[in-house]
Amino acid sequence: MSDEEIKKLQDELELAKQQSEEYLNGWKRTKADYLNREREIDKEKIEWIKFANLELILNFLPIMDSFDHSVKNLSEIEDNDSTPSTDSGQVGSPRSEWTNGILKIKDQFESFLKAQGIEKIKTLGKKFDPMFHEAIDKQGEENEIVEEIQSGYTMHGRVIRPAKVVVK
Amino acid sequence: MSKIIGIDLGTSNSAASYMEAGKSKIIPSAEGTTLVGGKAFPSYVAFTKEGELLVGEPARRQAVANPEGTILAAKRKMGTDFKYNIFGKEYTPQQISAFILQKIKKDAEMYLGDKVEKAVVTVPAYFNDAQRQATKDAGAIAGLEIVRLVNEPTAASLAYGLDKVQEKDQQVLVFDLGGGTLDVTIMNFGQGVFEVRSTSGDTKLGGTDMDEALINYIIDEFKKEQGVDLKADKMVTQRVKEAAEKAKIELSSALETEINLPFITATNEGPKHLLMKITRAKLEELVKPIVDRCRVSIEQAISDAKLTPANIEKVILVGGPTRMPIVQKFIENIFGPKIARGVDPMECVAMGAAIQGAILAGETEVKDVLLLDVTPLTLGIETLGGVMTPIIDRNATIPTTKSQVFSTAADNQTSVEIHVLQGERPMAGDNRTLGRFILDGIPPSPRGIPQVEVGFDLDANGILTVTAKDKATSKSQHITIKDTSALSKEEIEKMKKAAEQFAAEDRNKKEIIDLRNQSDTLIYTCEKSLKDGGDKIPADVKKQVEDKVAELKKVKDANDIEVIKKAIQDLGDTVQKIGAAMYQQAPGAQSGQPGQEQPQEEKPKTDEGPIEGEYTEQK
Repeated sequence: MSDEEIKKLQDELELAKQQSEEYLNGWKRTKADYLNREREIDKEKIEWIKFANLELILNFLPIMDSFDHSVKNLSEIEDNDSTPSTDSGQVGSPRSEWTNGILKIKDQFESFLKAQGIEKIKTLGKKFDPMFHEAIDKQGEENEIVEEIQSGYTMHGRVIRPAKVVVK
Repeated sequence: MSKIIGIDLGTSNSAASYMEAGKSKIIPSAEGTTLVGGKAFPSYVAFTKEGELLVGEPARRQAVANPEGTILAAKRKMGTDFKYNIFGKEYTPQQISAFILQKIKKDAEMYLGDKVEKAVVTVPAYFNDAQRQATKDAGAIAGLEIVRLVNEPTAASLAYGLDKVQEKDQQVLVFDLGGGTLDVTIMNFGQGVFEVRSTSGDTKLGGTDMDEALINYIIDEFKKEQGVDLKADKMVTQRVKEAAEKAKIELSSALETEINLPFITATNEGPKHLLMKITRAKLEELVKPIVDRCRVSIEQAISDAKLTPANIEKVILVGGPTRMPIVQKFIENIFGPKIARGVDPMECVAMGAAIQGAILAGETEVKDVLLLDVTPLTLGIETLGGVMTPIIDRNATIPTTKSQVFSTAADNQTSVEIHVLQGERPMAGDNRTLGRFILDGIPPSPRGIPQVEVGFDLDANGILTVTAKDKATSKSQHITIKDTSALSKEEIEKMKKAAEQFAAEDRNKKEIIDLRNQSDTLIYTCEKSLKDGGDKIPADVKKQVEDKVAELKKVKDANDIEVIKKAIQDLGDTVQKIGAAMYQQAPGAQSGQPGQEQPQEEKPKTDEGPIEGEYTEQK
């Protein structure tokens, strides 16, 4: 075998070695990418399951808002009624059982939300915090919440809708 | 290596995007769970009295409570000497923009799990040198290297892939209608370059005006009907505002929607409810004056570019309000059907910036790209009743390996035939045969007992090796098929089409086969129970079962699905009597227990356990 041939074979071997190294690295990298992705997917899955109902819940919240408004309205009516009905020492007219039943349905809704990891954001009397609250109006400089315009909610600790409030 | 992300640094909202596997994707903000625009970063920066810095969504939320500490629309001041004075400290517009870029950088790093050091940022086409330099400075302050500034209309065009059109010069009009501003840009695209020919716009025209028109209409109508002015109460206007926004979005796809706000207010007479139907026609009537105002800017841009509407080849829409059908109709009335579609108009600018980033990063990354093929058609084998059982599904990335365990269909069957198929139809006969081979030497045993593992190995070149192995004897056979990919594109499409075309018919056929297989299994079990039970089975029960077996045998080969189903049901019910009768006879047995020999209505195919295969015995 001539020197030239040996040189040629050596070069070829060198190239083959280089290529095999490159390919092996590519293979290792892909395998590692895959394993890492698997791990990520496991983590993501937990998140997905936790927040799978988010869209549904967000669309459900306006219904809950209407419920809140109806109850608020109820107490206003009762307040109005209570003023003239001071005879026989009775404070306010007794709530009808029917109304109490409706309030119980609202409780059911609320405990359902709670079971989904959803909690109402606290507002009245709290210090305004833009991580949880959105200011709609301002009446003073104290940065304290005096009125809730729309309830806010968190899901598993994450804000899904900030509470809309008036600050003083 | 770290990615170059794309940033749409907007007047009221910003957005960020990155490229993954050749596709641009939006980066959500850390607070991004609100219903609308959850992915966007509001371009708000705020300093609280306590000296805390807030950027994005939290800054927007406190804007009303802290107006003197909140800055928005800093973009309009870029490139000027203006200084913001907040609680005694001065800030340049660049510094304010830098806070927004920093926030995007931080959220992007958290989302991508990687360092982000470089970005492509978009600017309006009309930005002058000072404004562009100020934007670059903002990046430097934020610790983000801005590798390129791209005009917003150019970025939008990139997102639509307009740069891929090579034939001739094109005139492109980009109509960007945002919440509060309108920008119209006309560009000439040719030889790989976008050249701005003219720009025009209106800084006080946008989607907010449309929302207001709808809110005012709702409040006016309510006043007319109920005599109550809702404007007085902030809580009420807030509810109307949200309902109006929702209605506007719904009316982009529906022709009519309903606003339903119970207990909106109360008077001395009691609670009042707001219930109003709004049609798309009504909404369009309300917003028409606003849409018509866009005409001035469009005509200005066209005449500045010395063109006519007929010269414009493509129109690109950017911004949320352009989703409204009336806006699209308005554009088409001027230009004809030239609107490019398919990309979210709120995200396309950021996506285009990310595409530009990937092009810039391009050269260095190409080497890492290993192209993997997919198999265009499903590969499988024929099983009991001429059914095609898929092993490797279509569009699986190759190379890949899959295996499944099958069993025999008859007692003492000693060989199986593996019929390898390719195609999407459920029946074997309708698919393409790739090859067949026989595995023999299976020890004689009752049907369903032997375990034959069939393995498919499809390598990167599309070469398929099918192996069948008897698990008891370890005896195996294999076949190698080289031309799995020999089909032309047209043939593949034809096969896929046929699958869709015959879908209903095929399903029907397959259901009959499944029922027939189910019948065979049931008949087999029943006959076996009768034989095993012998004299212990009361004669009347035996007779009943035999009758039902005969009945099922009679109907199973016909094509009436309902009749076969009923016969299976009848036999299933009757055969339970065998078990019941035998347990009653067994000493000490408790009645009411389910019979041991009650046949299970096995489905021929389940995910676990051996699967009955259609291997007829070789004689």
